[in-house]
Amino acid sequence: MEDDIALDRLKKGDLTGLEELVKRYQVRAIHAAQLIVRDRLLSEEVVQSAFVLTAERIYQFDQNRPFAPWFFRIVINEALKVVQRQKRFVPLNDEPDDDAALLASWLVDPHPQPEKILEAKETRQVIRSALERLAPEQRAVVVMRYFLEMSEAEMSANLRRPTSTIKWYLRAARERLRNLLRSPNL
Amino acid sequence: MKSQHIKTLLKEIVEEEIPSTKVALWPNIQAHLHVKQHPLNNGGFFAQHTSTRSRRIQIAVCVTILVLVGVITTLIVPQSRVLAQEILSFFIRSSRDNLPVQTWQLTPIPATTTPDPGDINNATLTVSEVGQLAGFDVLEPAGLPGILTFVGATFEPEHHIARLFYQYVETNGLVLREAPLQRTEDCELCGTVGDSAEIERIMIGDNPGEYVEGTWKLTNDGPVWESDPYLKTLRWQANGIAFELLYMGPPDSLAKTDLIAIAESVK
Repeated sequence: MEDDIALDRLKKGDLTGLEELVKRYQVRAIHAAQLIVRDRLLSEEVVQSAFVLTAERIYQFDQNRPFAPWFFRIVINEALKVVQRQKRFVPLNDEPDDDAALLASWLVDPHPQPEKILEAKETRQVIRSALERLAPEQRAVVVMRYFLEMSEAEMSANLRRPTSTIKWYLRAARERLRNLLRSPNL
Repeated sequence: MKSQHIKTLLKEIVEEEIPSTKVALWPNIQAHLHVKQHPLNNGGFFAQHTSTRSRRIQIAVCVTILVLVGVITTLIVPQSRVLAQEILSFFIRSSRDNLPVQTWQLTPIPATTTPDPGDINNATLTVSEVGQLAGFDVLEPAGLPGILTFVGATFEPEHHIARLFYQYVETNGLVLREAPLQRTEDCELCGTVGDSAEIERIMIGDNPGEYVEGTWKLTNDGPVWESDPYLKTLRWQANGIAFELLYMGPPDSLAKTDLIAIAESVK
């Protein structure tokens, strides 16, 4: 069933439309939320509340536009709200850190060698740990850019920040990571 | 290539943390909707919207008929003009103080080189220059408190609105907006006020008008109406022109009676 059919049903108050959208988007949504929130239960809460909001606001949705960016905007905003409420993020410090350094090289290096990274022992744990050291909005930017593959314009709309601010977030994240690496070449 | 690798790694990380096969949110969402007794259940929410819409259409038809009858009556019976004037409304009361997030709030402001006619910084025209552009007599207040200084005027051709700007201090001041009656609003919330807004009926000479204190505060969850004596709005109509006086400033710097006096001097 295409999104349009599910959306038509939802707009008519038919819950099978919402159920279809949940089935289609729940995995991607909970994964995106998890990357930002870093807590499974909270991520589930975020996505559940995003779907409820979707149902409540569906009459605002312009069906001439794709559903996914609109829906993930809600997910990202809900995730950021939860993180800010929980204050679960660990701020970056300027001390060199192997985990963060690896993430930095992975994100910033213009000629990455992913195979090398993939070969590294406990790579995922290292990246996971480094991700948690980013501020929530920076994590959201990474998730939107790399996981949801959004354009800067879409990210700008999602975070309700000008494109220049999004670029600033990305640049700031890279700058901080660069400081962690303390390498003038990056 | 790099982005794809990053995506793959991120997917692997979250897949480890929350396996796709174990994601089944629908029962919880459904339960949540039931617990909240969400109006979606039983088709209530949308059925309510649909029926509200139908009811609104019915009401609109009835109101249109009543207005037509009223207009005809007014034309036939001149004495009823006073009554007709009394039922005019200049503000639209919203059914609540919290509105949903507006579409325009979510849309990035497009880069444009067109000066914003609502911005005092673009008020570079004289009253007569604006009058020539507008094609109607743009009136100005004959009597103004000494605290206000005329800055300049703008004309917005799209909505046919003339604005005269008067400054109190750097960030405060008065805007007189004038436009032919058939004009449309130049912004989505201009004429709308919150449910709790106190709309006061006043008289500008022989013409009825309305006065409100407050504004829509834009939040991430949508506009929220706030009663605020720092922002006073007065609306009235005369000689085929709709007028709006908007004053932003400390409550004791300009009172409602001062605004009415300014409005009465607009000739």
